[in-house]
Amino acid sequence: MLKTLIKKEITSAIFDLRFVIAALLCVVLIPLGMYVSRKDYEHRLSAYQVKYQEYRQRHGKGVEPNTEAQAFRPPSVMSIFASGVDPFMPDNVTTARSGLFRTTKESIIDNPSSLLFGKVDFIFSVVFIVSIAALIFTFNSFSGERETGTLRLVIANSVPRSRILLAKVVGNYIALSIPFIISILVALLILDASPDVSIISSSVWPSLLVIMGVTFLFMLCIVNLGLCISAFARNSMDSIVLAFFVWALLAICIPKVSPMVADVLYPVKGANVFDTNKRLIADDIDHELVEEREALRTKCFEEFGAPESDMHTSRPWTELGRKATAKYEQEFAPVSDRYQNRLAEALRRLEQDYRRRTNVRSSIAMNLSRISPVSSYTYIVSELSGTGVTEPDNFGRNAQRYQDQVKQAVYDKIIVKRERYGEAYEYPNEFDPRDALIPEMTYMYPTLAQALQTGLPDIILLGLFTVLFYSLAFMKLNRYDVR
Amino acid sequence: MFRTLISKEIAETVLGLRFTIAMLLCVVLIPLGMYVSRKDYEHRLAGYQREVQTYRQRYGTPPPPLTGGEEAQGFRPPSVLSMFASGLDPFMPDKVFTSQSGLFRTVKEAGIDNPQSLLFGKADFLFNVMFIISLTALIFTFNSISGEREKGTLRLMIANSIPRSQIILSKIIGKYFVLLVPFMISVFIALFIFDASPVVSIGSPEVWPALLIIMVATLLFIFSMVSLGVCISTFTAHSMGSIVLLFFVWAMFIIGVPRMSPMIAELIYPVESGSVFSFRKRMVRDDIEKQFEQVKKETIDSKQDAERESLQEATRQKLMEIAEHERADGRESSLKAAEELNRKYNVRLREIGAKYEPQIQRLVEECQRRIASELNRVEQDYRNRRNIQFSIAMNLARISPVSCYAYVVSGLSGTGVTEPDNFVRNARMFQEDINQIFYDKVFYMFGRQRRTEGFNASDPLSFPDMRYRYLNLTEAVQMHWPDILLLCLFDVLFCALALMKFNRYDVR
Repeated sequence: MLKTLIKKEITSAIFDLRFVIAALLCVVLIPLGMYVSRKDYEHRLSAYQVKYQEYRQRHGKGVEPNTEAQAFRPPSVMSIFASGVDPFMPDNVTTARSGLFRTTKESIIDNPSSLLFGKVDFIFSVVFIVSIAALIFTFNSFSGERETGTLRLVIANSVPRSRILLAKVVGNYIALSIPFIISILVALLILDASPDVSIISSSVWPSLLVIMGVTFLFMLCIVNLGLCISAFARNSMDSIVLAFFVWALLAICIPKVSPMVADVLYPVKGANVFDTNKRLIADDIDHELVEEREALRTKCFEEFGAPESDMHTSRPWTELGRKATAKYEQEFAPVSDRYQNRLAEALRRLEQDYRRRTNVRSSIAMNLSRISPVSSYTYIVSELSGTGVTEPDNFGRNAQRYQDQVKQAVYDKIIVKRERYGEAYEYPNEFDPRDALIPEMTYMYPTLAQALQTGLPDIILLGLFTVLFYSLAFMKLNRYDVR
Repeated sequence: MFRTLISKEIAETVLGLRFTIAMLLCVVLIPLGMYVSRKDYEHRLAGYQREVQTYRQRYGTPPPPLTGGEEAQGFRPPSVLSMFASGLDPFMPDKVFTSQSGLFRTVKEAGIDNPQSLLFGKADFLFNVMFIISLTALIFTFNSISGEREKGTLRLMIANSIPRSQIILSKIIGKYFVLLVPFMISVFIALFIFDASPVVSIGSPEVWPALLIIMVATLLFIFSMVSLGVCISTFTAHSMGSIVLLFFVWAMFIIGVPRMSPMIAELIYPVESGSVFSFRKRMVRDDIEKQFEQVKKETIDSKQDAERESLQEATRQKLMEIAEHERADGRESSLKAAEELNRKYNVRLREIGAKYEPQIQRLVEECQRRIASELNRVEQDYRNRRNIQFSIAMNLARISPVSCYAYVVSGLSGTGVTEPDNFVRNARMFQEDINQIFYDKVFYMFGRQRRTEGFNASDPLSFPDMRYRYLNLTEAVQMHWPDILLLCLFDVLFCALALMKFNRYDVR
């Protein structure tokens, strides 16, 4: 009986105009989007390679006192599926001897039109096109039958209502999956035709598989949502309006509004305010250091009774002045070190505080937006693509690691001697600055296991949403009264 | 009669569920989007001001002696109207560094404050109108004809002695007015929020004229969407068909056409990407430098080396002579003679160097000139090709009223597709200013060392601020009048199509 019901659902869905339109949209948009994302990835990859090679050729070997090693972020292969935060990510890290690395971003705008309208990557197609298609497929499956009166007939038979619902879910889901699977296959063919990407490489297929699995779960969730809306509405006119409303709420409002709400609930000062604070603290500590230095100098000079005229020249004229300066320099070294440590500690604390606050805000925003299955879906897929919300932090970690690596290999080898006129540099004996290689950055995107660990709550939520919508629809259908 | 028809249409829509939902969506989304965009603008403005201030304090007045290596920095202030359409703003560079070579570079700050909002994008005014209002307009109208046809009321109405054009016009106008109610309410709230900001005011002359034109374009756009919905409705037999067709047309206009057209343009007219182009530029420069190096080696270096060698040979011979005569002349005098010889040798060497210096200088200058002209040519060529591709993409996208609307609004907001070029123009102007004030006064001394004249401690150089100029209203309108015209044309076209189809409707 269930089989017959499902078959009936599938045939009724397939012979409809909706199916033709959905198939047309899927088959046009998903492969074309894939083609464009692939091209875009190839561009980004070639740009990365050009920059990288040129840098290695020019600065890959040889250390100078003012060397600042640079490294570049390779684009993630999976960013073809979800560009996510990739267009906003920095792609260049410049290390520094002081330990404060800088990150920069190329600012060439190649194609303003495509930036204005955004990209049609896989995730966009699924979130906007496939989800609307799923709602359009299902919005009148109960309300329409109720209007035409066929629901009475079906219910009058000895079929359990749960079967009817299940048949509708499965039938519509299969009918929706057909154009989707076809277009995915075409898209994957297009992807595999690229010289730079191969689907079977170990960095692609496991993530791809998980993304596909999650996408199918998401589609099931939206189909259930459509049925649920249909069960709640009285006629198909109401259900289309309701479906539109719910769609706008889930796909647009909740994801876009939740970061703003989080910002209102838990305001965090912007990064530039944080930078200013950092600078202010550094200035304050510097100021104290200068005061203490001057006091120390005066003390040393008074102790030796050296003339004051020697105090502010770098080359004292009298013997006493020279002695006083020597003593001052000797005593100043620990003071200077202490201030350095204090500065580092203060900056670290400030940074930690800022990071903690942004993390709290970010988790509020994330959890708020998880009311909508669309945001859960977006989080997982972008995470698996290496372009998710955790990627900026990951970039920071990679940059820090690279900084440490360069520090060990290069900066620690340069011995700076402070002399009266500037600085002098020495190298250890076994270290040949001309032959020394600048280390390369191995940029690590989160592995599949890590991404899954981060995305696990979202996957569970998607499952929960599916069950929730299904049971809501079932509940409403069970209470449906034929009279 | 016409009035009755319109009021009937209005009453019917206002009492429906759709109106409530549209009202809810508009009143929530548009003001909220405006609030967030305003906050964002205030952040950006504060960031800009802070940066300018820090720059002024730290590097704005470089301490003498100046070497010519100093870089003046210019900052791009955020555009006020970017609150309405953020457009390309998040991708635009916001800083320009001038340099002595005349090649300025542009930089973008790469701090990611709020990854969630970047992941999902912003809900600014443009987005809300493009996605929410357009969909609402279509949902309002999709069954206005097909629904009546299904119910059979259309027969009755047509059987009366009302011209069909009046029926269709009343439907369009009625729905349009109904849709305007929630839209206008939410826009007023949004403008109120906008005006509550301490840093902007609607009354300022840079805001209200542009805002007026944006509103006119928005009204035109909404009208085109309403007439498109009625048009779809006349083309389908029942409301089920029209909802599906509507979904297809909406997806095509909003997503398909605007996003696909840049790609199609790229397929039709491929242009290499910016990074490849800059790589080619570097190759050109390297090639020319290599050529000149070769020329220098062949013509100047060989002569100079020959002269030097002969000088060395002569000096060595003289030195040997001195050594031979050492015993006869005594140690003291021969040492003196050797010193004298050494001095002469050094003077002579310097003379040779000085003799060839102008030639080398000339060669270097010529090389620089060649490189500059060649780079200019390559760049011009690249820019031309890119502009062609770009205009193909733009004109293709204009098939959809949505892209026309997006072009107009983002263009008027100073975040449109022409803004990157405008930024480059501004940056070039700034570079020229600094050239005039500073870099042109840098001159060379002893080959490499650079000195500047006229700037000393009593009269320090202070770099001027960059005066960033967004396109003014007339320029923006001039740039985008085809889009406004096209929007009007779309209005007329959809109305005409609906009327045509409806006129041919047969009651049988």
